[in-house]
Amino acid sequence: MTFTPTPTSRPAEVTSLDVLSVDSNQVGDTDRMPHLEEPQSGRSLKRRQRSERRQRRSEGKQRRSEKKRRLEAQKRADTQRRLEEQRRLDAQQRLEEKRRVQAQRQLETQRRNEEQQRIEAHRRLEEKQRLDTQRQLEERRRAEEQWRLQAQRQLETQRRLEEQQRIEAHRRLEEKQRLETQRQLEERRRHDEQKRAEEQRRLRAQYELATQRRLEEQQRIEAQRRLEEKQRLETQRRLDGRQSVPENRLQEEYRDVEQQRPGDVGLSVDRQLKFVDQPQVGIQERASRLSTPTVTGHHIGEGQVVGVLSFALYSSLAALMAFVYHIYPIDAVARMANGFYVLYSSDPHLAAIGFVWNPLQSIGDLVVLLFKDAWPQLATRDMAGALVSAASMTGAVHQLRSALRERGVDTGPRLVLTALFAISPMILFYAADGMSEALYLFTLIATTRYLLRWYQKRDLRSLVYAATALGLAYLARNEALGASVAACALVFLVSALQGSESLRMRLKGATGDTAVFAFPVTVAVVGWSLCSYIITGQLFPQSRANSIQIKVTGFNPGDIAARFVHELTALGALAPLLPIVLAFVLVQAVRRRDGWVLFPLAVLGGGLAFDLIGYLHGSLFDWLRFYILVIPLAVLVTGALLTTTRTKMPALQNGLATNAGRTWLAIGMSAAAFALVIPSFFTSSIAMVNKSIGAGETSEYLRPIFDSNKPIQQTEASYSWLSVQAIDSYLSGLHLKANTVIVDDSNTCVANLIVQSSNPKIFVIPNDRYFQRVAADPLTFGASYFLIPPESGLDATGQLAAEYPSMYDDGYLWTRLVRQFAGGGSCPPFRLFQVTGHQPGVGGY
Amino acid sequence: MDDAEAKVRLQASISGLAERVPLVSARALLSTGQRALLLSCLAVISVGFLLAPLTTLRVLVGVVSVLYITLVSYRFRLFLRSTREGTVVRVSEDEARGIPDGMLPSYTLLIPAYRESEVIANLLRNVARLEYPADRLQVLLLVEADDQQTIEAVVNAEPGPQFELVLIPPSEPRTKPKALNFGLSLATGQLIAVYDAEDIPEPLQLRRAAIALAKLGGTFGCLQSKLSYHNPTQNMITKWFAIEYAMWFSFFLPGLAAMRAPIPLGGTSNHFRRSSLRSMGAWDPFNVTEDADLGVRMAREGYAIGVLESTTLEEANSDFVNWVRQRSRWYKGYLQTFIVHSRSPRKFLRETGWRATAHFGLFVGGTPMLALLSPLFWLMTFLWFFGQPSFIESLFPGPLYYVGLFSLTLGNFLLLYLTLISSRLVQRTDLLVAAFLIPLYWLMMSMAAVKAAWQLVTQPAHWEKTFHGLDGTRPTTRPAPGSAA
Repeated sequence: MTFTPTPTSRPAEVTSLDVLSVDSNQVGDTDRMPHLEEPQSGRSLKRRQRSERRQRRSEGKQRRSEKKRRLEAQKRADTQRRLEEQRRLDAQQRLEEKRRVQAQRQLETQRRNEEQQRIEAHRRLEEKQRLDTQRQLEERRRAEEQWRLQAQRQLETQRRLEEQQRIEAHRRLEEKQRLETQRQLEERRRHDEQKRAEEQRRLRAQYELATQRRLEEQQRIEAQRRLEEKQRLETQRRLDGRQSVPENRLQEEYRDVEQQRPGDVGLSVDRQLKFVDQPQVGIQERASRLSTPTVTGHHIGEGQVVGVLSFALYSSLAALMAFVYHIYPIDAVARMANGFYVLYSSDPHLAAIGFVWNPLQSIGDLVVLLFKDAWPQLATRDMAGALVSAASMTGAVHQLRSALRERGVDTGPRLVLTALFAISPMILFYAADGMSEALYLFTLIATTRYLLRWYQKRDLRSLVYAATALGLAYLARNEALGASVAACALVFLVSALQGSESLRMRLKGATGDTAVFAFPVTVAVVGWSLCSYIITGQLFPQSRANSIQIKVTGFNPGDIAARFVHELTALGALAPLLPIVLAFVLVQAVRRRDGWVLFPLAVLGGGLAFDLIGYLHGSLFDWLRFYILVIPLAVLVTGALLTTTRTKMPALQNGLATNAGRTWLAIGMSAAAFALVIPSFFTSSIAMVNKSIGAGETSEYLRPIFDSNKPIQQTEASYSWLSVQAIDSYLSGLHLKANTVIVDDSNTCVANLIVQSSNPKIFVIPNDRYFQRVAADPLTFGASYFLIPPESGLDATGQLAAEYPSMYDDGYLWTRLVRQFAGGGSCPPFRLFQVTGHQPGVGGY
Repeated sequence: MDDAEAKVRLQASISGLAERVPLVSARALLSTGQRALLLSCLAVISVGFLLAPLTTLRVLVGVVSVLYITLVSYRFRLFLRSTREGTVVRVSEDEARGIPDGMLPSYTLLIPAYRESEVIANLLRNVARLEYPADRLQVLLLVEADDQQTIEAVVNAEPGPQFELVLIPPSEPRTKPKALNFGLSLATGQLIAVYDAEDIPEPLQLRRAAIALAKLGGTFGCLQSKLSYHNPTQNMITKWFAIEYAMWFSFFLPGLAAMRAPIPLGGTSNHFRRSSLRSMGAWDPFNVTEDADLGVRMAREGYAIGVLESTTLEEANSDFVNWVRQRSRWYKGYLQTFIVHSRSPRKFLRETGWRATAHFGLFVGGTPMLALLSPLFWLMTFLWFFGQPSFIESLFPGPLYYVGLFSLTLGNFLLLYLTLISSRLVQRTDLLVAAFLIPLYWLMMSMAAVKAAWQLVTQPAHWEKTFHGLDGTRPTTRPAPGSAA
């Protein structure tokens, strides 16, 4: 709807304006009207006349004005009437106009409607017509379509039939060809199988023949022997007779046959294919064992027995040391505590594992500590660490035995050597105390063993295993760096010098081998250093910690000569016969051009060299355990000496040829092994409890045990244990909340305390990410206690001592000494301070 | 061969498999069940995101981490398995030469050549170098009938009597498997081998394969020869490619073979029995990695596949763009193969057993999956170090953090180490630097995988078109039809 102003409004406005203007005229007129009353005088007539005239005039004037006024009024009325008339007329006109327009509009609408109806009707008609037409067309088309489809379908069917026939024919042809091929193949396969079977039959016959011949021969020999024995006895009885058993040559022959049995390693697949029934055996799984004639069928049982025995021995020893003698070496507890913090501290996170030590032992402890709730002693008595050590040393024993077996050391000497290694005093102690030596031995002996396998077989897999073990060895102890350098050099040399290719190719292969071998340990070194750097800001925090320790403790190893003498003494105590054996083995190795012994020398010797150089340089303590690698080295070298399978000595070969000879040889070898290793038991036992040679854990913990004057309860270890117990029971009596006691766990008694505690979460330790903040402003963070050792020696280097150097002695205004605990064993007298206010300049001020 | 016959053969080559066993044909991609499963997974995830976004994200991250570490350890397991003895089928040179010619079976070589005019002369020379009696050798050069250049090149080269030029009538899909199927219908040899036109097979390969197949017996359906490249030092990409192939054919395939797992074949130097190939419907012309698919189908039919110790040299793709194209096609094909064969998992399980099914999932599905997942982890690691550590940390609560850390450190270590070992294995210390730079190559692989997955999602209907585009734009120096692995 459009909006138009109504026609009446405008004239109305105009009217009112007119009215206004009229009024104003009127007002003006009245203003100009003359004054009518005039007074009369003496010259009356004239005056009267004048006045009459004047009166008349004024009357006339009045009349005129009246008339005029009347006229004006009339005129005004007229105007008004006219105006009204006009307005009325206007209104009427407008009304009419409106009515007209309406009418017109109605008319128009009507007309339009009619038009539309007309059109609609027309359209409808048209539509109907169109539809009719269309329907007709449609029907016609559909009929046509149907007809065409029918025709097409018929055609299609016909074509398909033809097609099918053709394909069928083709298929039949193919089928025939296929059958033909199959038949040919079948025939060929049958032929092949026949051939194979024949071959097998021939072999079996040969084998049986050999067996039979051997049996007959044996029977014959046996009979002859019995006869001879009888004769000998008889002769002896009568005279003094001498006789000799003829050598059994055939047995040797049989041994050869036995060695060539199919299924043995060394056969290529194609030979296998010839001998086996199942054609797919070619890629069937086969155990990759070295073909040493003496071990067939025995070693699985042997390995299991040795493994179970070692683990049982080590874990019971661990329990004995923990529960009876309270031997928890401080470094072992600290390592376990690091794993403990990751899981159970007030801020459990992986970086809490700390960077003072390489992490592998702590990681192992951590895994065992997952079961702490089931067995709390895993933490409180460090059984977690001890079990990891026991398992690792079992692994070390296994690897050593395997290395000897793969070298070809016979069962007797092999078992003797393995057993002597497993129960040698140093090994026993470190297999049960939770230190990282067991893991280190395990990984390094595994490295040696797999490198030897690589040397013998040249398979990449063994090299990869060795490399992985070496990488893990670095994660167990730093010293593996020495082993890595030496072993990498050896791998390069061996790879470059051996083989039949050109020097260029060999150098290429050597580079590749060395890269493969060095990669994991490189990743371990770089990765661990990077982690340390990111979290502590130092690339090698472990060596820094070590040098601080040496500086602080004021350790003085004497001059170079004294250090050298100390090293020789320690090595001599742990492996007294090594120089002699090694000399023999090296001569033998040069004569046979056999590089076997170089590998234990490089790996174990390399690790050892790292510590020897470190001590000579004055950056290591004089602890006996730094020389532990010499023990497996001595055993392996002795094993190398006692290997018989490759001997070229005619006497030995003759001896090997008979059963009795072999037995005697085995006994002799075992005895030799025993004799060559057993002296170390005495020397190392003495050294371990000697204060100057056996420095470190062994003399510290073992001396008191063997000191018959003191009961077990009075050893230093027991005293430490008791003092930690006292602190723990006092703190648990306070019923503290989490994060309330600030401690520095670089003191091992603190680490011990935390793992003993029934609620380890009350402590705030430097491994927590918020330690700095809390230590700087304890009250704000709800911490209320400091537990502080005297600031002397190593404890003066801790983070807390650096922050509050005079806390222990004097305290601060904002702290209050609550209690001093009595020290005991290796634990100093700790003091417990309560925080009573804010440190000036921090927090509340 | 008249037109009608050619038509019949062509028809059978194109739709033979799809009509006989539609379940394993890639003509249609997703089955109804798969579509429903996919949609319901998406639905569950999106509902999860609406209700508990962080938890859902954590669950996803957890699943992906576990998947990733599984896939990487599986690769290492394959490596360890492959280094044992007896995983590769060996036939010694003496034995190969020792068999009299009369005892050798007839052999047909199928060599598809599409726009390969430049290498025809080389091809003829390389085939002539094969030590196999000419009267038992049939060489079918499969050329598209409208590829005038190649036809002329063949005619000009005047090939010997054992060569036959097979003209394939122009038709869609214009793929290598179709050409192979067509060629197979004309093959007369008892044994069939497939080569690409530019391949340089080791001269004794056919004799070794024939002897090995005869010895291994009917359970073995196929022997795959090792593939390598003759241009590994051309540029960084070919170096990486060479290392990857060494890993593939020296570790992964022998490892799979030793564990009796379905083996995705490489597209060349496969040796089959004609009978077994035919009985199982030969190649699927609608799968873009028909070779991988054929390997899986052989496993389903109960055939074993061995890796033959004999190397065929190929030419490595040296151009970045082309490499990404080729690789994305392989990944797409692997995904396609995976989808096709998981249409009816129960049937697959029944046919191959749970071990082989697991291998199939871990390797065929795992290969593109690994390439797809890696960038996700790199992104998260990058963010962790340089961006929003707290957000990333909140994604890895508790044990999940350790799983994530484990897959980050161990995963990258293992993959890098495998690469290094591979470069040692192929005696190429000049590839050592390339081996250490291989993470860049992983980045390229991931790009290709993303491209493949994207195309699989967005253009399932245009699948074949994509394929044609790729196949049509082959490298100008050395075009080769179909895939190589």
